[in-house]
Amino acid sequence: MSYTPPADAFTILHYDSLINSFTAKRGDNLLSNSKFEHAAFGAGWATTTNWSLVAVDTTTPSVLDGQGALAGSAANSGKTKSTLTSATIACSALTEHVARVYYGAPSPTIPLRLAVANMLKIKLQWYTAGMALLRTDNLFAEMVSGSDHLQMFDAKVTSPATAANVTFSVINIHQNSTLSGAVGGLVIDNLLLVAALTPALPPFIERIPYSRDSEFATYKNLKFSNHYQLGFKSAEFELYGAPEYLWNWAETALENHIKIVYQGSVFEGMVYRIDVVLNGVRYAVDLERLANNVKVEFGDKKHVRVINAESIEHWGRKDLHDSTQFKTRDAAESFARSLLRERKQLQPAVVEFVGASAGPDKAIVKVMGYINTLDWVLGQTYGAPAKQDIGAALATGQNSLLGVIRKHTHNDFISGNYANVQVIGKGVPPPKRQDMRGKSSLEMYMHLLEMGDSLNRVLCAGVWEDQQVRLAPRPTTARYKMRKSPKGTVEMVQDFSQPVDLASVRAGEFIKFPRPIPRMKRYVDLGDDPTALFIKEVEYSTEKGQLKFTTAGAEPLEYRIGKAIRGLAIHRSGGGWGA
Amino acid sequence: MPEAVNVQAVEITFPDAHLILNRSNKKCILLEEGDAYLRVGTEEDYTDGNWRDPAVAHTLRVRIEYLDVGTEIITLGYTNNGTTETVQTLVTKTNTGKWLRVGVAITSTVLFGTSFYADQDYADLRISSDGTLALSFVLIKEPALSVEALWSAAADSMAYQPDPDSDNYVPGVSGYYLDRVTGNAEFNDILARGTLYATAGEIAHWNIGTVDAYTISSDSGKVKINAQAPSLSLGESIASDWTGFATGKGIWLGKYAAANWRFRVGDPTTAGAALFSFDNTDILLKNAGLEVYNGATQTGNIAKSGNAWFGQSSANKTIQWWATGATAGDVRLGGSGTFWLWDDSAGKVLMDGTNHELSSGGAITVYGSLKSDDYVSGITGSGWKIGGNANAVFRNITVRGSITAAVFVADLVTARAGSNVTARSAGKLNATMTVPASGTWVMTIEDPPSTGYLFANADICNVKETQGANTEVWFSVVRIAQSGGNQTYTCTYLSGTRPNSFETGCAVADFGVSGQGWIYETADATNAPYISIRTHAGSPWSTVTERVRLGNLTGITDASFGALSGYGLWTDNIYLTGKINATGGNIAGVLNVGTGGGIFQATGTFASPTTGLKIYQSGGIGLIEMWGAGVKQVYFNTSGQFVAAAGDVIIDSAGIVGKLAGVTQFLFDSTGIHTYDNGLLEINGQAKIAWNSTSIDTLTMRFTGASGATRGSTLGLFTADGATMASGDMLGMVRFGGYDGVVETSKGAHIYALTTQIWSATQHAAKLVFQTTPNSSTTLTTALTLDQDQSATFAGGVYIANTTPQLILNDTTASAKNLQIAVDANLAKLQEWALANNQLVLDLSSNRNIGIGVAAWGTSAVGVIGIANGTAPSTSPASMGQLYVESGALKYRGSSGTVTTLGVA
Repeated sequence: MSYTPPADAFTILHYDSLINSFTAKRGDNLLSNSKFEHAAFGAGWATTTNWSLVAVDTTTPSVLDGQGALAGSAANSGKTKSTLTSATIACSALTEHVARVYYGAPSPTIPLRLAVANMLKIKLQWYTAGMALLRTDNLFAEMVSGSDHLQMFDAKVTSPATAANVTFSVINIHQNSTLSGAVGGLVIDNLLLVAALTPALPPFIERIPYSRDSEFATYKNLKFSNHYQLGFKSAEFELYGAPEYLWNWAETALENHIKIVYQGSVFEGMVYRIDVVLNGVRYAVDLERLANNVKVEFGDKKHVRVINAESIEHWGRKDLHDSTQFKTRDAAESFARSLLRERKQLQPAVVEFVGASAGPDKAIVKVMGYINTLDWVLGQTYGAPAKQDIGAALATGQNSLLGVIRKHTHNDFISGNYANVQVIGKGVPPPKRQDMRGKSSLEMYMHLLEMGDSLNRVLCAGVWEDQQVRLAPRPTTARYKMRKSPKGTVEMVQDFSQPVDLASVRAGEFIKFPRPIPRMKRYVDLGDDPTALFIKEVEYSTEKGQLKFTTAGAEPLEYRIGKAIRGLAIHRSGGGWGA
Repeated sequence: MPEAVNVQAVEITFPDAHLILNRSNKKCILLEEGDAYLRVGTEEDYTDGNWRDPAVAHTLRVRIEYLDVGTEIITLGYTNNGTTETVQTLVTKTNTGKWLRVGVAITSTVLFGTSFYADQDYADLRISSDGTLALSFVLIKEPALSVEALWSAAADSMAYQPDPDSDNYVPGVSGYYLDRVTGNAEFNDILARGTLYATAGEIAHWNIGTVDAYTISSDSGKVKINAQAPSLSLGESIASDWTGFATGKGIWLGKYAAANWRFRVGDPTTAGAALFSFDNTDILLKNAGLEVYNGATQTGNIAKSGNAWFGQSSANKTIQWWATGATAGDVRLGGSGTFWLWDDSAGKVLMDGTNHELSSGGAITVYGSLKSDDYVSGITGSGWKIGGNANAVFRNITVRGSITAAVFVADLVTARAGSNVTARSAGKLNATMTVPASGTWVMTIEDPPSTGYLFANADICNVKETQGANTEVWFSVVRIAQSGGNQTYTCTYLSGTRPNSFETGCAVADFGVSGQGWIYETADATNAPYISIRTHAGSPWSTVTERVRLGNLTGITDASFGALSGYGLWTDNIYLTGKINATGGNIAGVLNVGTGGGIFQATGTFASPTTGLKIYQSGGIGLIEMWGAGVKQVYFNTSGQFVAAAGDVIIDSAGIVGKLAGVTQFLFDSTGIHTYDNGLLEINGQAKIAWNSTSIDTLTMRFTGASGATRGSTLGLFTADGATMASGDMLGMVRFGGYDGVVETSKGAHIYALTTQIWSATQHAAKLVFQTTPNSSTTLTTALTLDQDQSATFAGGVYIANTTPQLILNDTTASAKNLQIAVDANLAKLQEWALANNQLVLDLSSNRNIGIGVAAWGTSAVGVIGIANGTAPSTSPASMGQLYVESGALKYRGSSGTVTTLGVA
């Protein structure tokens, strides 16, 4: 196949994982001796009533590293209250903080339903510079059931306006008199309190130039798509390079931020799946398979949830709500643990033997737009107490859908800048919690968008450049037009008849065709115009130089339009780079 | 339900529903020190004035079912303005361990659907407890809207049937309530037209059958009326049947047995407790007394101790006895005032009331001894005693007359008040002595046991009467007779009060004649106490000379020490054979110290002082030593030396020597001033140092530096401040004054007179002048002047003034060549002065010209001799020729007188 590289090549910018950059991993832990690795609690802890230090192997569940903190003791009888409060810590006002505690209740054979109160409370108390109490945030207050593994709790809290100091408290109330053999009410470890950082971009790793002549350290077959309600949807490219380089991608590149730049057209997203073909063997690693927060139902609307704290810390929380129904809790928990065991960590695995036809070693990298990742965030309840605008319900404030996702999970893939979220004009009532349970956040997102605006127009949304959310009713005028050239050919133009760069065509826009009859009626809203088509999705392939539309019409129409567009490239370029 | 009620849902937003547990057979949520948040109503009811419309205020009642564990309070939090929380107590748990229900009217209106609990999924209510919080259901009721909302931990919330109660039901306050589960009910008034049946009850705090069967009781059974065993009991733990007579504190009255009715008041079982009873036979009064009153006046008392009295009143008892206590056995008879008392413990009768005195008059025959009740024998004892053996013991005796004793024994301690005079002699009037207004009188003195007259003739006596008018008379006596136990004297008045009369027994003191004295000791006089020895000069009443005082010295003015004060001894002379130890003192005169003694103000011993001053003599030489740290620091020794610095500095006739660590540092002696060990001599101010050397051979002053190129000796002369020169400042000047001008070249003194000074400050000139005195002359003559005075006629250069001044440049090498510039009275000459080669070379190698009488040469002249026109010589000295220029022509005149023109003009 004859091939002439375009004058402006694509460039792939490779960044570190967003989850490594946007969450607590980027900040300094404000707590001293937070892992209790010192021989004593030390000056960082002002109150240690009924807490002691334990080594890794002296409790079940075992603490994370050398030592952890144990609440209560066997020597205490009756209800024991154990209070662990940090020394006063200087903090910044109006700053988002992440608090995290790994915890576990000993004696996994003792289920929650026995008459043993084992309460865990976690709270932050914010103070002024003069140590006047401003606010108490009770982050967690629940009975804890026995388990052989640590659980993790984390939350984001924004400090009050005049906060200058904060204390971190972990309180356990345990009735251990009836718990034979229990050595304490609770073990905790690896506490974290950090002022969350929100850098514009994660650390830059490399720039991969577009060079189709080279088979190493370059890529081919780049395709990317965008969607009128998702924004950037997905992209895929083949990466060529040394086997070690490709294998390193397979092991470390998942969740990395990828930015593809071509002539002012940008695609951003997260590395979601990597297939590596080495010596004719294909290995694959796929975020789709990851799960570290598994929920399984049993009985009458009850569920059991098991998590893997280490996996959440490494990958971010990825929910799995399995719909299998079990009769008993034990059965549900066993199943949940089995799922968790299999899916809590990811590593490349052999998929198939391709053989000599595989060609040179390569990695097939699939990049997912960020809204698509909301599919793995389940059961986030959101909403105002009263009816509110769809725009507000979706993306304004901490209690909006996206705000809740940002607040309660660490999937900070989506920017908190909602400047491009418009007021839609149509209100939605508060969602029913039972309807939200088990649903993915992507489903809720699409559900809100499907309501349309006050004129019942389709809503366009999505995460576009800079992880920024955009939300607006679909336009009423056409951004793209088809016209006949003086030569009699058809071409696509936009913005005052400028020729269109096909790679920059965005979904969520109208494309207007010439009126077949000169005296045909003109419509104010192109939604009513039979000569205008609304673009729902666009897919561009650099390999073929082709643009593919998915429109709001029937398949035949889509097919023909697509064919018409494919023909455009030949006439525009004078030949050569179309299919 | 009273009417159709709109049942709403209450959703608990925290904790999660999956945390519903079973506790005590009920499904519930359970928290420890936690908060449960509830959202009230269905989601659709948030606008248009419906329940969840945040603009609508609700008047609510809340009923909860809770597990009564612990004693903490359960509170309800809500908001009535959307911005602040109101917290109201629902109930205080009582730790019964049971599931209980409580209904409470919310005191303020409540808003639903606000954002106050936004973090809890927009909850509306917060139920909280500091202890265990277990809730099985929460019922929210708004009577005005006939709306009820319920959250129940039971899976089917509608399975709950709320208890019927009135809308205004507030426990214990208003409305009615009927519990479907327990059957309990609460009403206000009940009108029963039929019969009320109850197994037990309570009316107006009277318990019927709930404390004891057949019994009406109140105050937790402290008041009981028993219908079965007729009795009335009041008090603590008293059975209401017949056994109540014998047990329990209080009152029992009733049927003890058939035909045996009794009563009792008090405590029959506790030993020592008071009890008053009738046991169907006797009236008993145990552990209690009896008081008898006449109206408000107590007229009798029988205490349980056995003590008792009867009489007119408690202040006027007719009879009283004591059975216990210190006065047990005593019996007192009589009313107020005097009474008789039988003192049982003493076995005696006391009369006349509490004075315990015998009241009968006349003599009382005492068999045995008579003594006071507090008598204790011995000198330090107490009381008094007159014994049957004629001995008596008293503390103080006042005797108006004299005391006659075979032996007068003073005890260990005696005391006399006032002042005492010990005079030469004293006697006692043995008859009243009458002092007439004038004239003499006779004084009768009791003859003392010893023989002889008490007073000598002319003795001055004094008699004083202190009991009456306190008067005295001074008089002189002349013996008359000694007979009949009396001595009589003729008395002549000298001073005092007369006429006067002195009773028998008055003491007469003899002060002797002029010059004699007495001893006066006083404790009450002015400036007392002291003992004074005094003399008089014939009038002791007015003029007394104090010779010695021991005691308070205040009032004495000493000629040397002025007014004295404080305690001490004052007299003329003190002779001591022992030591004087004092903390200080003054010696007005000379202090003589014996040759073996000394003055010692130091620590340590006199023989071996540690620190301080010691003055003594040794070998007839007075010595002073100042000690420090056990070392003689400064002292004079027997050699006449003054030694300081612990022996390092010695001053004596030889000079002053100073040492450091035994090494001499400096020495001033007849040979000069010496410093050692790099010592320096520094003199500030306008000091002068003069060395007087008697021998020219002595090196009078030498500056010696250390070896090395940069450390030679240096003598610096500076201006006053050693720094900046100012107009008028004088440079340092070194002046050599020769003895008589003799040049001692053999001693190397080529220069012996030199003066440097500023000649003109304004022009900064310098001048160095060498002067000397010529032989046999005392007049200074300038030998050499080096002058840099721009205003002087001799500006710069070397100026030698002499009768035959000469400057010789002498080459001292083997090929010596010398140049002499000399001037004498006839000519100035430049010559090779030495005698070796006698050649004078005029070196014109540097392209110079020679001019004789001219100073200008022809153009480009080099090595040219120019001769000015001269005057032709008129004679021709022998042995020479004369070369000269005349009118521009070079001519030569030989010794023969021939003139030859060598060159024309």
